[in-house]
Amino acid sequence: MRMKGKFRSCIVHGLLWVLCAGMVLPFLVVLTASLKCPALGDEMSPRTPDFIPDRFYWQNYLIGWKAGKLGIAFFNSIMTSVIWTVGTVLVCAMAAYAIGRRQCLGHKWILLFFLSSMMFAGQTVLIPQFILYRALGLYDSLLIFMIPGTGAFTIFLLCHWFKNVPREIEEAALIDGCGENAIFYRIILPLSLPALATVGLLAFMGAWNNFVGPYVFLESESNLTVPLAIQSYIVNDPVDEAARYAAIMISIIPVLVVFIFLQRWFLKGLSLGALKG
Amino acid sequence: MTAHPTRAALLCPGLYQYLKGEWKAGGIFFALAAICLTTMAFYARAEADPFGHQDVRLAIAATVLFWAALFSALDAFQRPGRAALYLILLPAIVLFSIFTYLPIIWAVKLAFYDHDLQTLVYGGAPFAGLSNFADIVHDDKFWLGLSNTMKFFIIGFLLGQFPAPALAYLLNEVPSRRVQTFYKCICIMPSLFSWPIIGAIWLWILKPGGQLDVLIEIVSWGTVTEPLPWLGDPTTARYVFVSVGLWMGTGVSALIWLASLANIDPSMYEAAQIDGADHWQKFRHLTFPLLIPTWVVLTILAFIGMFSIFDQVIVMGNPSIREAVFVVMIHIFETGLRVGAVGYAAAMSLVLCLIVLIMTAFNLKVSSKMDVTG
Repeated sequence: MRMKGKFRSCIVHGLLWVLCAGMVLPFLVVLTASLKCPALGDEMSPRTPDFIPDRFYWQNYLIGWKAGKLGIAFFNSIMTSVIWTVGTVLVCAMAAYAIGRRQCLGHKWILLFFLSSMMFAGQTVLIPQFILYRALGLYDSLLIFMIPGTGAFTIFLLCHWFKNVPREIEEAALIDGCGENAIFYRIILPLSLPALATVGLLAFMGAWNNFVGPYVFLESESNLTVPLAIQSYIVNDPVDEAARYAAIMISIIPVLVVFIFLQRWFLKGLSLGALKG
Repeated sequence: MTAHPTRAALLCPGLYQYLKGEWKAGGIFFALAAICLTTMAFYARAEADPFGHQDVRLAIAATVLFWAALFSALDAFQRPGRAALYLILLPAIVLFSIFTYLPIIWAVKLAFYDHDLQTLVYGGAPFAGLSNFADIVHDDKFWLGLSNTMKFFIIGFLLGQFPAPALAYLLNEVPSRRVQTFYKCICIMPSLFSWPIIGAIWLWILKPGGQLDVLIEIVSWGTVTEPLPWLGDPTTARYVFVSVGLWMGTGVSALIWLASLANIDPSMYEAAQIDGADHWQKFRHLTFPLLIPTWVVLTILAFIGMFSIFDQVIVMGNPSIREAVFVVMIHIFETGLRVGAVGYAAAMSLVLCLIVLIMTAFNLKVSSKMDVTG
């Protein structure tokens, strides 16, 4: 029996290592490619497995940063993502509080209204949104991505969360003479910081990685976000391959760093999404 | 001020609240309504913009007015002092209405006009009636796009059934929490990045003579030395696209399965064990039925996520596989924004929207049936 347990454990870990290798190796391959230097004789496409860097030609990263216009791109991305996330979480938290916790009149219909917007998947409204933004004078403007809003999933998750905050604390505060508005600021909001942080993280990742939006709505050279910058760089500059992959690594590293520090919140965000089912 | 105001006061946003003594809330409702009405009057009288920008701004003001009035009226029917709830609901609802629902209504209007690049800039598009919709029937590209989208969905659905639950099962078997968290982190890593990055990485690996070919050569003991056309052959390309999508999403799906698995009460398993159930019976009668809701949720999410194929095609597409990966969204996008025929593109968008709605409704119906019986 014990041998069977150990054998089984070996198989499980073995399979997991293979799968995880499959997830990680592509990134290592790109890392290796980004550190090569064709001018010094490195073969960019060798016929051997190539995921451990031999050479560390870090100058590629400088070239990639400049040529890919990643400076402007990062600035724009950070600005729009932060503003959008903060705005969206605030707006959605207020709405979710009114619907989930205090259940104002008609809350079921309003929630349905928000959720049914999920059915009109983002891209079917792309063309009309394009016209709408033009009519508002927002053509080719980063403001488009800073207007908070459309986070149906966010509202749903927060609604669920607010419904489940225990009532005893609220009742105790009411007895102590706390006003209704103060209950929101002083009690519910601080208690909800984990949920807000998780939801905010998911929203931020969505905004950071948004590619179709910038691709359709932005046009001029200086209006770049990181995904758009990478895409135009890859498409427009097929010559210096190592620098291209250095640019990609530059855009990967911040996300990885944030992920390593906040991995607990990422995993929490996923289980929040799972439990709602 | 303490007497119950007449219900006729509902007609004026904010008046009811004011009469009941709630000055601030009443004031805000009234101010909003006043601003909207002024804006609407301004745009209604201003010179007609050939492109219809006036109409858009009019519509936006009308939307805000509608919600302000509705909430103000609804507030009359609930306990006093709850007006603030509607006020904090207003931003979310107004933003949703303007940026999600209004474009849809606008698409309906656009679909009846015949636009091209000229009218997009200068306005003056002729009324086209239902001819846009009629054109869809004859449009080969639309049906090609639709069939490709369906093929992608079917392939993705079939191929995607197995990896995520299998991975979840494997993860569940890991006894140590810290090791399990380590594996979990690696599994969701691919889903953290945007499509241009993922596309560029895979284009590099899948190119002729790239790392995947090297791997195949090693695994097949040197028999296969020719570079394989991963992204060159139309049929293969579809499976490659779906596989990349699976590579990205399996980790996340597996974690959702894992969370659901962990939610199942272990005492039920113990009870089954006492009743003499073996491993297979426990799975069939206990685990499987309890996981059906999760499966339903993931399928619906996958269905909605099918639209991300748009990003993938832009990033990983090339001329030789265009026929195979040409999905409907790409056709709508090119028609609308490259050719400028936004009217026709809007008509196609609406038809697509309708198809998606029908399929989602069907999905929900089937899954609610499974939920009850399963």
